[in-house]
Amino acid sequence: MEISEILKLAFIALRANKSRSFLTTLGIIIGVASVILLISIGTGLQVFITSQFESLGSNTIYVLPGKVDLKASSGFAAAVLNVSKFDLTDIDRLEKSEGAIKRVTPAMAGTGTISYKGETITVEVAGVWPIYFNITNFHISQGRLFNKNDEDKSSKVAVFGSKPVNDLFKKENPIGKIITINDIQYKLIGVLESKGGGGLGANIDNHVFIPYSTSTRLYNKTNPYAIYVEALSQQKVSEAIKQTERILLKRLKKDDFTILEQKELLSTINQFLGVITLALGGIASISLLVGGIGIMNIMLVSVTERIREIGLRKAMGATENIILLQFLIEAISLSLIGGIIGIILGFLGSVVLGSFIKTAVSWWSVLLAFFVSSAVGVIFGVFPAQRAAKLNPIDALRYE
Amino acid sequence: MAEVLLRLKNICRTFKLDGVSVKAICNVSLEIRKGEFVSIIGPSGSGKSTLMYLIGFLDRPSSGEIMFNGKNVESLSSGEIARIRNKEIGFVFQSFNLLPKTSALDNVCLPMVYSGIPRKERIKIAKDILTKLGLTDRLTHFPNQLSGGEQQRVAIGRALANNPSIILADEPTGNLDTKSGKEILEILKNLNKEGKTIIIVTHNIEIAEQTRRIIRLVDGRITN
Repeated sequence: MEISEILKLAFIALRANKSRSFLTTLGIIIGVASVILLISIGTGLQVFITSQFESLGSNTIYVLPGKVDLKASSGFAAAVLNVSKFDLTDIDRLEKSEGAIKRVTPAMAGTGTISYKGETITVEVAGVWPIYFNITNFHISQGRLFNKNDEDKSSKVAVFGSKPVNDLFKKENPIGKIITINDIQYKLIGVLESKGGGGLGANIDNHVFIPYSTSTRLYNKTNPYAIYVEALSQQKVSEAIKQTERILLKRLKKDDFTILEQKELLSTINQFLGVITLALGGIASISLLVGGIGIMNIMLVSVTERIREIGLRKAMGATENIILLQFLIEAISLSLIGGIIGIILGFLGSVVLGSFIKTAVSWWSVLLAFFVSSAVGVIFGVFPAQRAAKLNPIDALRYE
Repeated sequence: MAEVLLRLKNICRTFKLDGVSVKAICNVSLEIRKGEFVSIIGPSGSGKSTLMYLIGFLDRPSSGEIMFNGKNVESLSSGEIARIRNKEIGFVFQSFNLLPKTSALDNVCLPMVYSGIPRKERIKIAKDILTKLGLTDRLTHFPNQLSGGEQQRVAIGRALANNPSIILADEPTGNLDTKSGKEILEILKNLNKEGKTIIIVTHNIEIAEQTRRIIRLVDGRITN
């Protein structure tokens, strides 16, 4: 007997119970679609963050307060809580030192509530020196950046990232408008070019920059929260790190600061996101497993229901192997059809979701979903199929 | 005298019921020759169903020897046994046992699917058989659209599909009214006249008397 005949038998049986077959595949459809969708969200996040980091220039070194252990799970959280012991003399020494360091800026970080004509948003408001825009490759798209004069005079001027501008000013030209940050009036003098990426919360475009000297008053702090150092070139990054460390140690203790280079930071974040992606995929595959159990359940019901048919087929000369194959193919067809529909739905879902956040369907998740769903069919189909194949034809024929 | 098709020698079949061995049939020996029209008769519990399953190769004896076409069946694998069921035995059941939601034509095709006859050819054969059985206008009907007599005729058509050596009919008229029953019996008689070996299992003496040889079974033993 040819395999195409057995295939036809399986499809006739599945068609005979259309709604049941559909409901059974639904478990697999949901499982596969959610695996693909969740992995695409995780992968999209990784792609997004990597591109954002790279847009900041790969020569940048970050100096954060306290001891930050990136390997520890609480690394980043700890860094935020650490009290900064930097002061402007450190910046000054770094600027003046000869060697691999090109440019330096202190940075003040905090959250500000920004209002304009009744509209209010909350964003990161960072205080930096004008040189910051050169270090991080930010370019102006409208108006101007603040300059040394603004810094020296602690002018109340603000340069907006593209996102808060879009949020506050619908169609109006934002340049020259007076806005308030934490109830203090500022003049919006420039808008930065977008670095690209979706609308995620941790977006670099979602920042407002004010002069460093102004920010010390805004936050009522004198110590810079962090120091950004730019190395002369990518090759000199490690040299610049050593130089920075040497200079900071003149005044500070080893535990007072942590120097991170972008590569390291990025790989840590990516590692973290990779784990999250896998965890998301893992959670989704539980539903795939449940779908598989659903298939087994229905196949067992189907075997019991068709016990006379099986007996008859055996009496008509069907061998055990043919019966086994027939039921196995039914189970595999259910899971494979579910898998294919699931892949299509997952793909469409991630495209739709892609207009809100960055998603990236990875080919390996599609491949994985496909093989897992067919494997589910085999694994959960074998047991019912074997039961059918081993049925005693006499008992099966007598069964009422 | 025609050649021996099937020979049972000292066949016993025991079943275990709650740990106790029960002999369903014991020391049964018989020969069926080519072209014979035989009935196996006995009251319920006499072991006639067990004997039928053994003759139909749906079951295997606990002891004794079954020869089919001069070959000992004992040594065959389950696959080879399935092949004998497929090619050499045509079953007709009391409750027809047609596949539901499957046309008369496809039901007749079923054994030919398992013997690997290509689709076009088996449809032609099935059509010929159903025409001969007077079901020309019922080819695409489903079993639930047919009368009992018609269903049994389809079942006989299915039994004939692979042109088997033996037609094995288990109470073929048991679920039918008198008129349809007579028709079915006529069909079997005609098939026998054409040379088919036919074995009818029944508890109805009137039917048994229309066959040419009666094998009486009482308490698992042949009495005549």
